[in-house]
Amino acid sequence: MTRLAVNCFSLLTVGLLLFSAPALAQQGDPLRGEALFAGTVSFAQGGAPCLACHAIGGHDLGQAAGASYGPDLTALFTDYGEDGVAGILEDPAAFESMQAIFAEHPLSDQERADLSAFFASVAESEKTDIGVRLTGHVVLATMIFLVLIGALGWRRLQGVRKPLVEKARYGKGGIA
Amino acid sequence: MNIRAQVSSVFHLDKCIGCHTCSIACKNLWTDRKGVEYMWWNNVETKPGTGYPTKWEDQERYNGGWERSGSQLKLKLGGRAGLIGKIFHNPSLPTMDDYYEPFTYRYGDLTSAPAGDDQPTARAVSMVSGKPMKIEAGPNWDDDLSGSNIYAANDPGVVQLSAEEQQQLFAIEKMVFFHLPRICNHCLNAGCVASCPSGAIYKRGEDGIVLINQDKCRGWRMCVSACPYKKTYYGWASGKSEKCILCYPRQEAGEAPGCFHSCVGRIRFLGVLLYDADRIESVALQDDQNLVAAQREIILDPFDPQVILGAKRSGVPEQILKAAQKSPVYKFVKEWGIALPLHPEFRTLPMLFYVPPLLPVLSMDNQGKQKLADDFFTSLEQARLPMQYLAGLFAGGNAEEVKSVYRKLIAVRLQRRHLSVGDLSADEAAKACTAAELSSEAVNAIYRMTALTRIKERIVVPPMLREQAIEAGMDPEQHKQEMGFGSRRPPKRRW
Repeated sequence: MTRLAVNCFSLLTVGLLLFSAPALAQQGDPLRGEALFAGTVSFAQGGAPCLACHAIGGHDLGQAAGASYGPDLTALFTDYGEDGVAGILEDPAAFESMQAIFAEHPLSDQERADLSAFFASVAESEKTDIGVRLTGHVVLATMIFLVLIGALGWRRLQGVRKPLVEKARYGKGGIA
Repeated sequence: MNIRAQVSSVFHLDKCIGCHTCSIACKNLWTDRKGVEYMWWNNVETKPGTGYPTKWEDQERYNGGWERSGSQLKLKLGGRAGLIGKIFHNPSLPTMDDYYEPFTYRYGDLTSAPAGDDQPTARAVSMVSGKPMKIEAGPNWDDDLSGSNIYAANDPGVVQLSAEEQQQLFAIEKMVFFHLPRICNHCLNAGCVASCPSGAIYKRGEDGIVLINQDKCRGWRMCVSACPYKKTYYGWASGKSEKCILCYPRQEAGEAPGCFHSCVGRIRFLGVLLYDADRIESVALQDDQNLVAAQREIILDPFDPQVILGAKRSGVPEQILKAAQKSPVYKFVKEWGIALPLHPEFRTLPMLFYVPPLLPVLSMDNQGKQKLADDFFTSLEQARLPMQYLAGLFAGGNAEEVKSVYRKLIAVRLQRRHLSVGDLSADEAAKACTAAELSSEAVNAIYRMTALTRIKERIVVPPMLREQAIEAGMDPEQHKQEMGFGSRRPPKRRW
């Protein structure tokens, strides 16, 4: 008896979802799209987040947003329009370089809609070059690293004998 | 009880004349190659002095040896995480200048220079860069009667003495120094073995010789800093670390190690010691003052039936036991108790022992006539070296250990003076024996062993029993067929 009730309930839920999904897909959530793009929310099928290869220069996604393995996607929506974007998202594996990543991990309808909405929301922003800022940060980090290593290893470079000799010659009570 | 055998040695410092023949013998045998020019597996340094490499005894700088942390022993270099943290950049290594920059002379210039008004000279050139250089240091640069206010004054042992004691060391006309020959101590609790990230260093089970496997060594150089005696060295051409091998190939052929064989002063004694390996850790955890006594405690009497039984049970072969009974080292260290380990406070349990130098008596004009047996210890000024200095070197700061040895050495000296010079009464000699707690026979035995023995008595190389060691790992017949071509290494192109 209980099992029947549970079955009925799950059927009902699935049915509801089936009907409501296309309706929701029409209006994607740009915030969720951003999360999917950046990878803070993962794709249902396990595809890699877009940010791994693509940047959106006009939108602040933090220090890691400078990936340049693929082209910058700020102007994607402007260049391809809504249908174009939908087409790309439907089959990202159409691009040869994305094949290995998405052929077996397609995006769901909802994810496509969210991403599309996100691309639409950033289309207006101005494309900026993240490279200069990133280079600055890398140089700074390298310098801090080198200074740290230098500070730790300073004693190693000084030696033992030379300071002894110098102290005796030029310090107190030396023989000159 | 887990009884093991160790080939160990005694250096009698009163006999060392500082001729460096041992160093040269070793150099010609083992380190006459490219990239290892700076290495002296055997070196002789002058004490007081900073030694080779400079101030090697200063573990605040080099972080060698062990220290106690709670009820456990820890490498001063750091724990496992500390070692890995330093694996690419170890700040505790000596620099080339602390060893010395190896040099040679352009001898060719002497014969090939074109005719001219000036005498041709052989300029000093660096063996590293090949360029002319100014020689500023060497492996025994402090060999300057130890008056140097650079090297002698900065000896880590001298620095911790009182101003009065320092003055005593460097006083004009009473200035005093001695030579300290050093090789690898083949320690029971070796720091180098414990520190090696590649597991390339091992202590041979059958004779306790500490070796670096040249196939396994990856040149991390942790052993160089972990050895408090700085007796492992990095080979710059091979990219591997190397150290004294106690001439095991010579010993396996029944010969004395090169430095022992060549020793002009006959200061070196070699023989097997039996020890209880189960008690190594408890010895290493003792207070500094007790380290010498505790280490002497785990060295076992090879004549004791209990020890013989235990040794056989632990797998020490009969022939090694026989060699242990003939060992002069056992007599020096345990029976007579006149040999002490170098810097026991590093807690590696070194198995090379030194008879501390009594040094020649000063002439009466300088010192005034004194009855040695009575007066020697009435005040510290009577001893030529400050007791505290010797205690810092050989007894972890425990001057009583050194005094006990000194009493015995004085007893020997006075008895011989009574017998051969005759200006001392038998009473005086007997009094010295009583003070030293030695029988007249033991005094005579010490004199005989120190002065009259031939090489086979001084250096008792045990049968190395290679066939047994080989049998433990592989069929001896197969070993005979396959060995002799060196170890199998992949060619550069890979297999």
